[in-house]
Amino acid sequence: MVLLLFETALDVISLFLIMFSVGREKVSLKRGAIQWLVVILIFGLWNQPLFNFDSSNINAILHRDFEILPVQSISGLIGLLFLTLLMNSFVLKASHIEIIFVTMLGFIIWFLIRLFTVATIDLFTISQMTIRPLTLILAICFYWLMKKKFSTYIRNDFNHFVKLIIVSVFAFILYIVLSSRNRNEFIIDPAFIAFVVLIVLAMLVFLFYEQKRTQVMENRMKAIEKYIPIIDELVVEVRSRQHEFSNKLLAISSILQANENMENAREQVSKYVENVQLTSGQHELLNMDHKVIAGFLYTKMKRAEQLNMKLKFERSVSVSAFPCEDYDLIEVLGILIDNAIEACFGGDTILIRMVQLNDRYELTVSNPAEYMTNEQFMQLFKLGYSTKSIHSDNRGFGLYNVQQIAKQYGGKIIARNDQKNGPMITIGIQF
Amino acid sequence: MRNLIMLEWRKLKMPILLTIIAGTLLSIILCSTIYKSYALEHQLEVWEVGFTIFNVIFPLISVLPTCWLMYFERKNGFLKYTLPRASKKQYLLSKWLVISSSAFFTMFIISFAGVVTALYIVQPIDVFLGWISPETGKPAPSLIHFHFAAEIFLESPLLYGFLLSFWKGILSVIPATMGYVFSLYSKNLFVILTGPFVYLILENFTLQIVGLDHLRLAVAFEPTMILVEDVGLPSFIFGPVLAVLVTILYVIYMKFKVKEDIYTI
Repeated sequence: MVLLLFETALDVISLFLIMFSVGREKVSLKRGAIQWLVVILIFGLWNQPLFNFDSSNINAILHRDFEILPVQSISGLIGLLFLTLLMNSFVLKASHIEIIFVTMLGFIIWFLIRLFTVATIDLFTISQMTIRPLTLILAICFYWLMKKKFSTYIRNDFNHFVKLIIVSVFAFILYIVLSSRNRNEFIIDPAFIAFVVLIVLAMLVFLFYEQKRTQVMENRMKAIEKYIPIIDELVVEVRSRQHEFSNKLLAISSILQANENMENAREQVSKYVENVQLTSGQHELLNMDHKVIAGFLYTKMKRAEQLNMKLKFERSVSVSAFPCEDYDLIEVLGILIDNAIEACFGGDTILIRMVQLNDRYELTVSNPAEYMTNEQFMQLFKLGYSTKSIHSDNRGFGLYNVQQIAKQYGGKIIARNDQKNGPMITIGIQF
Repeated sequence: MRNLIMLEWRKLKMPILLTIIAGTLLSIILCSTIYKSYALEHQLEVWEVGFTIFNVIFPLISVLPTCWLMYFERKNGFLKYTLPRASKKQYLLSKWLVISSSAFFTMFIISFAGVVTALYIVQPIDVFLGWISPETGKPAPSLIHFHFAAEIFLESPLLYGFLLSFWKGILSVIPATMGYVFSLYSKNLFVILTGPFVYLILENFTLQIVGLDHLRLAVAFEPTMILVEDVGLPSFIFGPVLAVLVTILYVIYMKFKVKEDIYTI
């Protein structure tokens, strides 16, 4: 009896840790967590035949079908699934749909860990009594890894494709477990299974491409919605200046009439015109052939101006010629410019270059900085590496993402020291 | 009232029809496959062994397609919108009528599809006589001695299947009603959708532990779960009455103790 209680408790704790880690919930001894443990433990115990039959059967129970499932019957398994879902709804802070998928994902991981444990124990012919402790150890490792290393990977909401994968894998694993456990009850014609698997695979492949296409469209729309209005602001700003042009012309005419000396007149006119002219940056952005990128760069230019920095553009190629999606180009530019702004001080100039070298397109951002070795450059692109702060967990993803985007389009990353106007470093991407 | 019922039906027809289709397909598949690994005496036993899983999940089939609606109508304030347009009682009653009748028809259709599959679609079984008659000492048919309602089961299997499917349909109304009542007061969707199922599991295990196997709701749903000697009128009455009592107690608790009102959330 004590042994059964102990074994069931180990299973429940393992499941608890897995559910809480995939549900992004911190394990603590709060009321909800204790309720979760107690309810599932009582259910697990109630579901043991020990409570239904003669207690002398305990050895048979421990060595019959109890290796994989913490419950003894199909009704018990269905009950466990739904009771876990119910208890998760009380303790996890997530939407209804997310709770369903988190529960399924939790069970997938639990089944995989348990199947791995059982297989290992069979392989090394270790005592079956170690199945549950080993499962618990693996569940603790999983919880720790999720919390420390991979928390960012489960932070986003599940998209449709991931949901479908979860459902398919869950159904598949459940079928494997049930058919291996109850060979007499769950025999379905292999041809039928093969047919269902093929249909599901075909659906998944179709949905994968459909999902990818929709995602690309969504990202494009988001970028357009976000940055087109900004470039329109720039146009409005220029137009508002044009309203003053008649006054400016009158003023220039007055300068010329008031000065008898041509040299003085030229000097005064050129001084006056300085205030009327667009900045080189504004001029470049207005002439840019890509409104979305121009809008985005305009926001960055304004930000740099606030910090008393200058953004300088050198462009000898059409932005539309870059062989990548707008939103990826925006992400690369955003990361590089933000990094450069953070590394610069007031009065510095950041140079953004878009050029074509042979048949390759190059996008680079340069900012004043001390000389860096190749090793230092390589470090910059490592996941989690940051030169800025060691106190935040959310740093060190920027240049890693740039590298990933470069890989995605078969491009290269560029990192070099420059000596154009003093020591500078240049980081960028080549498509 | 008729308009209200039609309105509710229009809101719920898709999930109800999908459940009927999916459930019927599952019933046909299970009844066409599972029997192969059993030694059976009568063709209708194909349905009994194939339908086992439904004896466990029938509260889910009754609740999942319909009981979510009330929760969302309370949550998004639609219920208040109905206040000046329909009488409270009529609105709630029309909802219950649609939910309970859909539970009835869904279970009846799924179950009877299994009966038809077992009797007319599955190939005739190889009869296996596993019981040794103490009188003759030879294998003999056992169902006449050990099966619930043996005469009608053996002589009119279609009628037996029809009547039991009809009864299963009626019993499905109980968890559907329980789920509906939960949806009137609970703020947790999972309590509403899994509550009746969890109740069935808990009631099942509790009555098993106290040695009252024959009074379980699951036994009322499928009387062949236990020995024929133990099946009696209480087996058909106690489980459903207990479930109804629990539902009434829940309403009383929520209304008078927690003072929860259906029309506020």
